[in-house]
Amino acid sequence: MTQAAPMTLARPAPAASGWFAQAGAIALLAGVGLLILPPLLYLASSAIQAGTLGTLSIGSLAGLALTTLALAALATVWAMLLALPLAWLVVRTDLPFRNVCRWLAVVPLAIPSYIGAMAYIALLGPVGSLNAWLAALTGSHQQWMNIYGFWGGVFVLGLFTYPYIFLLASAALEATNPSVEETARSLGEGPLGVLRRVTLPMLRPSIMAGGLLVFLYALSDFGSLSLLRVHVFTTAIYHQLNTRFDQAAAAMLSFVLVLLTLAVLVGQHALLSRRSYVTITGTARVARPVPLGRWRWPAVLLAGGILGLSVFVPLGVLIAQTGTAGQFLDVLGEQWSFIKNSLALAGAAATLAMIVGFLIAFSAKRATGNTGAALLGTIQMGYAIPGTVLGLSLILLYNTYLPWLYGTAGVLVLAYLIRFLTQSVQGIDAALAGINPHLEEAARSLAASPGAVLRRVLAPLVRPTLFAVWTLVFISAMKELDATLLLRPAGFDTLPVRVYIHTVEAEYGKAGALALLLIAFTALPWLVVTRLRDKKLV
Amino acid sequence: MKLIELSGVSLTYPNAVEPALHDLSLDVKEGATLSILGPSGCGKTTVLRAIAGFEHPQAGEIRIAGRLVCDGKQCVPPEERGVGMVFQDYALFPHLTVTQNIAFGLRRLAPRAAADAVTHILDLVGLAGFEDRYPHELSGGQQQRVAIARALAPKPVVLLLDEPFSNLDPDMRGQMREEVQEILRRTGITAVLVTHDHDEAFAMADRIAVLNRGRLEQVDDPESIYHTPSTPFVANFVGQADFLPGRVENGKIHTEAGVFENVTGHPHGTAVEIMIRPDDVHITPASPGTAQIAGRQFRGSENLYTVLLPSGQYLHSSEASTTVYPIGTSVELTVAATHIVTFVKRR
Repeated sequence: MTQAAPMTLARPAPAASGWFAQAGAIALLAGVGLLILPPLLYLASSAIQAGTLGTLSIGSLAGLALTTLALAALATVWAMLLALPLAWLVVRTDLPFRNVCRWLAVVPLAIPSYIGAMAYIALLGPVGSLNAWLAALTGSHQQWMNIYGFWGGVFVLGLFTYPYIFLLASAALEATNPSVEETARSLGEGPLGVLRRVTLPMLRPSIMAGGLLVFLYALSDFGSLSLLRVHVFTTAIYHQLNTRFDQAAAAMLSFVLVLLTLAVLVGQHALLSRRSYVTITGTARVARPVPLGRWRWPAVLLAGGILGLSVFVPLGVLIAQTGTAGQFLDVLGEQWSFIKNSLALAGAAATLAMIVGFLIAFSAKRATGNTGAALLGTIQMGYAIPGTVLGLSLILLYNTYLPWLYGTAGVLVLAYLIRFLTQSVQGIDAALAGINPHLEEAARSLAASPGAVLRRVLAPLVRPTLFAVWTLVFISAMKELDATLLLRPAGFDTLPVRVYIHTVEAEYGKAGALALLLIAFTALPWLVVTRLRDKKLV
Repeated sequence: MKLIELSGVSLTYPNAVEPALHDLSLDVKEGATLSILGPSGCGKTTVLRAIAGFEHPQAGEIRIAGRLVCDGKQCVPPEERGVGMVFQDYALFPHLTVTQNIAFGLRRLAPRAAADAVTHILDLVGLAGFEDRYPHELSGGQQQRVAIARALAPKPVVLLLDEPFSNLDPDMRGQMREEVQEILRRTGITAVLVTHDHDEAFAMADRIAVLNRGRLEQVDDPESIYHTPSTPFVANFVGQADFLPGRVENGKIHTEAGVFENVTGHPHGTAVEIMIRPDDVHITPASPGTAQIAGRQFRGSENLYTVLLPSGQYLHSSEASTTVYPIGTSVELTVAATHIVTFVKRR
């Protein structure tokens, strides 16, 4: 009855040709360091050199910080309120259609938050459908509903990020040993007491991890908050840069935002290391679904409401705004050059990230001492920088030192590489870690050189993973808006940029058509990869 | 006094063809330890979970301390039954310390009384000094002691143990068995222990219920289960047994290995099988002997010989650990069955 513990594999020992790998790792570290660190350092030095807040006052800076933090915190709470009941219902109860619900609950991940914002603006904005209908119905042209502002930002961000919490919480709920909860029952707790004293505390690490993802997302998001006209750090940076042309103030704001992000990450690290516990599992038994009884249909209503708000309403609005298939194709024809831009950029970034990611993961594993850890840490930093801040830092740096690069599509590819390299490295690193080190040793004992081992043994084994990380980076780069908006060469728009511009100009038909295309471009590759993964091909 | 009574309990899991429990009747006397013994999948854990209230039988009655907790239609929920359960995987709360785990079921007590109870029970299970550890910081044996302490703390009417030693290393298992037995003795609590290991059942239980495919084969004290099993299944399951064919003639049972008393009074001419345990068979080298040694397993404290009779029938014989005969040795058999157990020959 006992389940064998998962087999743990030792990390491969540094190969005999250690110095070669070590030199490679250091060279890569230098390269990656040069890619990621100078923009940040230059940003810091610009902020400090400026010394003044420019057109900003201390008061407005503090106000901005408060608004940003409050928005991120409320969006996180809202996402938890959406994710946790849904996770519990689909994993632990006899909710009708729970498998469909479970599948639908991750769909919002395929809808970038700025598209979600666009859909809700088209529905609930001042010139949105709802106001139009109500005006037609009542004859009065009063503005009934306005989603612009702080609460609209909280609403939209939580709605399109709750799957992060849902995924982690439902996985944890599923992995929970049912006998732990049964023990609590035999010790005198009723079902609600078990939920409060055992189930929720055991889920706390997953809820916190998911909540942190949502919080950081909200802290760094520009696209949806800008469309919803919320005044937070990212929108203020954009405003200083593009309307007031005050680079010093923009640098100062970015610097503070980076510090805030770092503080959150450090705080999380301290919190997790102080109280860590491992769930002791080892059971093949699955908890029996809780019968909902007369709560069955209210529960269906709740799950349907959550999925309605986050999946059906936005997709419905996009389809309705797009109009007919003919109108859809017209928009695609008109905007074909921008679609091509997006595909080319994302394809180039994904290919580069895949190759560089493989080399980095491979040498980080071989590197002795702290070189490997330093390499991985630096790359993760690139991911933590908000897109708007990254865009600004690259403008500041390349404008000064590499003007020939600034204003080309190349700078966009570099920005995507900085932001998404960690996805590729982490995926390949995990795949390499799962390879039995004895395979490598067996190949070496059969007279294969280290290069041949890489080519004939490791590369074929991680090939499915290479495909998966390429897709992942491609999707991320396709959706990227915040940095692209600042860095794109004049006239070189991408799909997300066009969605943004058409939304700002209240051309919801065009925005809707392009948003649907963008969702298809991100959802289809993801479906292919998960399909292959289910069949153990990736 | 019968503390736990099951009468006519039947339970079929959803989507299962065969019932997990079939018309099962059992009782446990106050202060006694009952062991439910059987192969995996025989339903023994289901019995335990039905007593605890995690499974709901479709028919039959369960009483705990005279109170009807299940009548095949309605069931008292687990939290209102006053049973202590120790799971095979211990199921410690990973987010709580040792103290908090043990105090989990003591919420109705005043904080002072709860703290005293925890101290007392920690002493009982020998875990004083581990109060603030988390479960993952404990060894397997320590985790199990916490699980037992946690189940005992609210002073349940009965302690239910589900394969409690199966997750321990073999050397730890013997030690924990003795410790748990001592804890049961000192608290005087009624216990039901589920196991697939007959040695464990023999060592720990006052009475043993042998289960096979959801049906009760026999309930008896350990000695009777071993020496006078009531079915061939029990005879086989609780130890090495050979079944020697014989025939009743003139009031005696005649077999290839000797003549035995017809204690159960089978009629003349009945074809029977007589159960022979290896410790009933003694071999001595002889030439020419009636049988031949076909194999030997050295087991440390004994040598278990496989002996081939002329008819092709095998018997097993337990000899002293120092008695070593080569394979092929011709031997004479002496069968001295202390308890003569016969079954009418299966066709």
